[in-house]
Amino acid sequence: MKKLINLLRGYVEIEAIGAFPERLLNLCAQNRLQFWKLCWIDATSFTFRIALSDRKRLDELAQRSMCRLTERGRRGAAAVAQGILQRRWGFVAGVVFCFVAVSFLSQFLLVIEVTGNETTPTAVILSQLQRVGVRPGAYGPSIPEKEAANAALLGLPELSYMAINIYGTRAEVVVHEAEKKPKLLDESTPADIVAEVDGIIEDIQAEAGRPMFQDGDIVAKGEVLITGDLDLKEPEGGTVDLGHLIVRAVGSVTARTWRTLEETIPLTCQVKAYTGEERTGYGVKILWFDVDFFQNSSISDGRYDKITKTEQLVLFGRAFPVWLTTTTLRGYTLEERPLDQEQASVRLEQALAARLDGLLEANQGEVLRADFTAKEEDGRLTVTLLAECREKIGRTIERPGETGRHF
Amino acid sequence: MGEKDGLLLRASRLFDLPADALAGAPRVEVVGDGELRMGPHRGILAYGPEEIHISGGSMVILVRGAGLELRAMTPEELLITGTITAVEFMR
Repeated sequence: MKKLINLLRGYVEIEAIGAFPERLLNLCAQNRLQFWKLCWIDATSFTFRIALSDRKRLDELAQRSMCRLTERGRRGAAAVAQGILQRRWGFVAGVVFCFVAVSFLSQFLLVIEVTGNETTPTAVILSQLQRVGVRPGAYGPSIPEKEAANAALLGLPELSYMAINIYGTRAEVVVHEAEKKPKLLDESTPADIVAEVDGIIEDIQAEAGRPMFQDGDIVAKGEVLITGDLDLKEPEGGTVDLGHLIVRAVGSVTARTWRTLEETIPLTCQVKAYTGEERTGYGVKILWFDVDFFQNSSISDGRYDKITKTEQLVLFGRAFPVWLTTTTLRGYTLEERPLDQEQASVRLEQALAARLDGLLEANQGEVLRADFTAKEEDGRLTVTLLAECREKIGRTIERPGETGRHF
Repeated sequence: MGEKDGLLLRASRLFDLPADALAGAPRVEVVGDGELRMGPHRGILAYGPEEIHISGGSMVILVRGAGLELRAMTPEELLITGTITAVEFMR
């Protein structure tokens, strides 16, 4: 054990020569300089070992005892370290520099991980965090985690909670999404329910207000179906004016409607014909530094597709703030080509059907019958859709004033 | 031996007290024939693998043997190892 400790501490093997070398030993003992492995060479010299840390004090004692010391060698971990420091200072400086650099650079954020979001996109949260200073490249210790989270929350009403935890180069952002506020029914603003389209009423239900039509009536677009203005009739023979009760009309009106939609397309179109000219350029983004190897390259005649593909560096399942951007320019010319009429007709029918679905979806409607007619005129194809539908045609239109009784 | 030391030595014998504590006489402890401890001491006077002379204040202790080595030495105590054949006290 002692040998091991001596090896770790490092020691020097010394040869002492003098008229009375025993004096040196006595002085060492008096000054508590531990020595070992004492070997007598002759009457005036001997060798021994002392700890590296006692080397300087030994020189003083040798001077007092009039002995000459010669170092025979240095051994042990501390001696090796001292040797490296003296001979390979460049290497040592490099190691120290690397250590300091790693210690310092590991304080900068490289990765920001967002967890807990389901409907709010991560990019939106990262963008907001960037505004409050939490971004790749930011100096971690300078970020006040709590304050930054509160500041970011102010700009994200869809979140109810945010916590930022910084672990070295990684920032973990934990969020909780807020419950959506229910839409409150506004009962203070008076409103009527009017017809959104023409139709034949199949069912009219008024929860508030008075229906102006009955089932089977034909209504035109814009007509009031359920009015919010209720005329309070005074009893027969009465002389008191009871006035009007203004309410916000609520109800549903289901009607059979006929919708006519039309789409037109020219029978010739311009098609891209790729010239075969293609250029690819690369760019690298590290943290917020952009290195563009592509510069301002373009294709001479000016018509080209620009396809940009950005990939983030992912190592061992972790994304790092290094992005490689590949930009491809593909040159083309425009050529006039005739369209296949049948194909064009089918495409227009599909487009019309999609439009109708979009209109009916908002009104909870359904298509009862649909007829398409196509005609060609002046080099253009026109397809018309005539659809019989069942839908809710009532739409709330607010009116000025306030609800309540008015005289 | 000084007069004072002799007086203290005699007193320690008279009162049955340990002489090393009262008179500061060196205490020599030999373990087998391979190890010798001594304290207090006043330094090494001569050193060799076959003979070591140690100052004990009022006397010189001479350790004879083969392959003698001073293993440890502090101001109070020293340790000699090797094959010890004789220990002599010289006044």
